[in-house]
Amino acid sequence: MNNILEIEKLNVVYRIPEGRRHVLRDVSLELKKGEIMAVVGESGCGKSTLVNTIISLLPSNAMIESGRIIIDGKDITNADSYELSSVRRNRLGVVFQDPFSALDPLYTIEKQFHETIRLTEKLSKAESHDKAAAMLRACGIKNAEEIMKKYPHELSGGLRQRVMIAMALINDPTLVIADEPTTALDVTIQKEILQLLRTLARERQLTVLFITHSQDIAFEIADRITVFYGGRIVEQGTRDDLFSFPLHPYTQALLNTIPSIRYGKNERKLMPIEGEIFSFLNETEGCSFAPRCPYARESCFNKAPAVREYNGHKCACEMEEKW
Amino acid sequence: MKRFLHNRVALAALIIFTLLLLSCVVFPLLGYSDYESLHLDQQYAPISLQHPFSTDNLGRDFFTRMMVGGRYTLGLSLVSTVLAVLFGTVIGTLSAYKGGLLDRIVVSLCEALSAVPYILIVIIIEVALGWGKGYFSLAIAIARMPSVIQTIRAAVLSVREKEFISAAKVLGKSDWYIITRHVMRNVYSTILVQFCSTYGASIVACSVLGYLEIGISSPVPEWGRMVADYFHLIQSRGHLVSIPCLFISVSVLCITMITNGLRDALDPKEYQHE
Amino acid sequence: MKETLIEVRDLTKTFHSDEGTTRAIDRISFDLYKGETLGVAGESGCGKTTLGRCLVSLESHDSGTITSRAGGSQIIFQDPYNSVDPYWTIERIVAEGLKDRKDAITLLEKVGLSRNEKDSYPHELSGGQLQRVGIARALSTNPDFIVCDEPVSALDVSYQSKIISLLEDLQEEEGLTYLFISHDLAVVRHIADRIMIMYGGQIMEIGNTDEIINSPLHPYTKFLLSAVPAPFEKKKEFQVLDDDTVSQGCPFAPRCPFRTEKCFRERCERQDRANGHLVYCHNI
Repeated sequence: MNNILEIEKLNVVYRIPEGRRHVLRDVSLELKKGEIMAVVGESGCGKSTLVNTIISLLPSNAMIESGRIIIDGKDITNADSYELSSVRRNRLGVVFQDPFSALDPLYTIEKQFHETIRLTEKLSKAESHDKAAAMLRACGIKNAEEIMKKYPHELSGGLRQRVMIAMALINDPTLVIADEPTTALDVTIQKEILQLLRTLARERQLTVLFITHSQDIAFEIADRITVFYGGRIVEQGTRDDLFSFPLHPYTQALLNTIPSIRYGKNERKLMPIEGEIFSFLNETEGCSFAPRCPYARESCFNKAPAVREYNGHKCACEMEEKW
Repeated sequence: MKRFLHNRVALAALIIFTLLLLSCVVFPLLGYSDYESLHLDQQYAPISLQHPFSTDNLGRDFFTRMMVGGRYTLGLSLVSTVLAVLFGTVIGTLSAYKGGLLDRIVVSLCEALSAVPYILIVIIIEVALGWGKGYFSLAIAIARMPSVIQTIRAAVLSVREKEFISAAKVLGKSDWYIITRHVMRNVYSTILVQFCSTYGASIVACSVLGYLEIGISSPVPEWGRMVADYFHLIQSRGHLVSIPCLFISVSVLCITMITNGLRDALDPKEYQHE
Repeated sequence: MKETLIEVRDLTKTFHSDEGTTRAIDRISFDLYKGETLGVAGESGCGKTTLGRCLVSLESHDSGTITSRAGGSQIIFQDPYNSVDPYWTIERIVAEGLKDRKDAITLLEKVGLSRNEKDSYPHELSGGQLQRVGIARALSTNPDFIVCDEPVSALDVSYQSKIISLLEDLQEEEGLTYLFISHDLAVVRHIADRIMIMYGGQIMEIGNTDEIINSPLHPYTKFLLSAVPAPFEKKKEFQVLDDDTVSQGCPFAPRCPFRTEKCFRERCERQDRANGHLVYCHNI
């Protein structure tokens, strides 16, 4: 029982005028303490819905159809709003993609820290000030005192994201969710933020669920990687396994489709994935990737793919000959 | 358009307002046109086909006065709305698209103009140009124009930044082409919504000015003027005051509903999946 | 041997706003050769987008010259959704620059869209398809030279390679010259013959792609390369300083570990290396 996050057979549906559509299907994953898990996927794969489900911020036309989410031993699937806010306060830290809209522009950084700290601890202004300053320093901000007097718009993008991380960690959360935290940043600042997250995770035994659209970033940060496509987990494994021996046709195709800094002009032909990205408006019982898959058989289109596991490396594909 | 027709409130408002407008056009043509001859022997005549709404304290047919009054209130404010939206759109579009000095002048003028109460603007214009129906409409139009200009200008500014405008420029298209083919098409829903909301505001302005006898004076049965005319009878013959009031309120309410319906129909928020 | 298509000399562009003036491009000079792809890489605010817009006259420049022998210039934008008019059909968008609307179908097919898509509206297509529409529109005037301003940055990964391949194929068929702007060095590496690294409105280094990637000379290039995420790649670490002094000379001086006082005072002279590899740094 050292799983910080456990998701079991989670199904989430959206109600739209055309009917009910599944956005997440049979999603199961677990995170051990101190582990960094990256969730990789393109737009519409369900990764944002996964985050919103975990932090219980689904839009009003969405609902959990079945399945369970357990955070640190606490089942939040049927929790009431009082329990939910207690879980959010004490066990969750969230780092959003856009720190500018996640921070309140009307308050100084110090004030925002104070408000956050007060949710869990009764500390005086001076005590919370010291605590926040220490956390900002831990997040690589040297002039913490100075930064705390400023308003969010006075900070650069990279600095804002550091403040955001410090704020997510201030209440010692058991689970940190980072939703594309580097997408809005330049590549050199992205690298600093990724390094910071890794260092903090190691030092503080943090459990991190890191959402990203880029497999390269996932490789930089994660211990294990989960690949999403069309609302389903298609493959899950350690970072090295996944990059060295990708099993699912989608993962394989992804690795061959993006340009790499290693190969120059005419050194490698990119292998595009044919077809259009899965849209959950065209709901299917079968494998979401089947319409674009070069190996798809008829059964792929109408039967949900079984998940097979090999030494912790999971893959949801009916292509048995690959095993 | 389909979306609008699905909105029942807006549809009902549109039907009621159209009926009101039509009856103000049609009934005076059918003989209900004499709003000013006095028949002192026919005070408060019983309700009949000849006097559907009875008569007033001076024996004038009240229904005729309401219908002809509608022509004034709804008609004059329609004229001023057309003027305000037409010129407001042209000025707002040019100002936003061209930018620079022109834009700065327009913006400052709008700000200055919207700081002055519109009643004052109307009085100034009418004193300067003269008292007449045409000037009256023009005056309301000018008073309403700043808000139209500002809204259209903001809409054009956001369209102007879109990359398809840049693409058209690189293709060598003229400004006239870009404004007529791209910009207008993209702000057209804003213009339509502006038209409706300006119409509502103009009706109120028209009635208020009528009530205050600025630009419109008795015996012209403008609705606001009628409220003032009969105000001394409010205790004995309350309907003479309340019916014009009701007509003003219903018109403005209908137009507000239509505006809201249009806004919802033309500005569809797509379902957000991710 | 190599024919110069566009010659840029001392190009400068300043933006004025309420907060003051910013030099988006600061006296930059380079040549663009016929038929090549010149990749322009750098972080946000380095001036790469402004440079692209200046080259297709979407932005006027303050001083300097652009001498172009290209028959026509076009541009492809980053955001496919914003680069097409939402109220126009696909056919009309592509035909905007054409004399004969019938040719639109040929162009659509050339960029890999089907005839059936011609009556669709933009919201019915995916980002990848819309980017093809943008490319078709750019091709409609038969340009020699196309500025590609981050054409794949806003796309999902599974569309990126298709657009890159399409651009490569079109270059081969039509003999196009590209200025390929991107913040993603992996994409630039893949498509470009030469790379120009920009920082703070100035060129830091320019040279053949392989040389820039494998043996960078400028400290900023080294720093930028060290930050690119790449699986299983042993990367050289490169630490920079954290200083926000304003520099009159090299824009990278405040963060450069090899800086001297001269870097803050004087603009770096161009240093020519073999194979047209140019670098702007005092300390090499």
